Amino acid sequence: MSDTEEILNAYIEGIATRADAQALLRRLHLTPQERAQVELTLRLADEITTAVDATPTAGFETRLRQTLQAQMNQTESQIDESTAQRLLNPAPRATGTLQPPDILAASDEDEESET
Amino acid sequence: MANALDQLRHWFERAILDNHRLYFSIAQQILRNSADAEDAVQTAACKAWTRLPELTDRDAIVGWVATIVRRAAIDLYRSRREQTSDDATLRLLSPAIHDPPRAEQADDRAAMQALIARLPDAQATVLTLRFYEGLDAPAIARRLGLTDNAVRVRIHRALERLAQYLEPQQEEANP
Repeated sequence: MSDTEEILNAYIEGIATRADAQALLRRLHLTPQERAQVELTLRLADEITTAVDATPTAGFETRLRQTLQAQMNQTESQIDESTAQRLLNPAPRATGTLQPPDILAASDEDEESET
Repeated sequence: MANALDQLRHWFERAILDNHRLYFSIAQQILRNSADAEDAVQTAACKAWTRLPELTDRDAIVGWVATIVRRAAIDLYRSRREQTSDDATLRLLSPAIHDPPRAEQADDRAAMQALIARLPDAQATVLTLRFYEGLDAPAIARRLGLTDNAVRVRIHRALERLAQYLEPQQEEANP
């Protein structure tokens, strides 16, 4: 993997800054393909950031808490003790059973949204 | 038992409230309307509480609730679409009528939101934590109860998928 790719991947993963990624464009020996990749990545990041930006309405957290507490009071009896104990005191993870992370991520491919 | 249930309620409430911005962003991406996004998050939070016995890994609660939020937002989006059948009214409400430059920006944002909405749930959640909350891969992994590598794979796959949609436009801009 080239140094350019490493820095770009680090930016995508949040390890390197946007300034680090932008600085790549000032390199003299960038190939056209590398330049295109850097520009596309920066553009993608900008568009994603704009798309996911959302400001909750004033008082949203308070309303959410109130709604949730009302629901909890209404349905308290539906949560049994075994569920409470299981979630509050989880069993230690089994050792010796390795599941490569890529398999976990690969399972996402079957979940494409219906929108 | 009362004490265990109180602890569970407190833990669950924190999982919801500490991540309310994430859930709101996910709902907003699909619904593009703050009031509807708030409705979807509230609906999802209540649903998640009643479905809590289905949760198998407490460390995965944030991603698990995010998926429920997404489903609630999609359901609300579909019901709103069925209610709003007046195309003429929709066109009048479009910013394209009043401000073309702003309309273009609004179109770009809406287009990207639509693309993100088509991503698998886990990829969309990871992407939101990366670009909305500004977290890096290790921090996202801790938030979602995943490994660092699983998060990195999801981020890269999500970007690859989105880039596929943008590439034809990139070629048009730079012939």
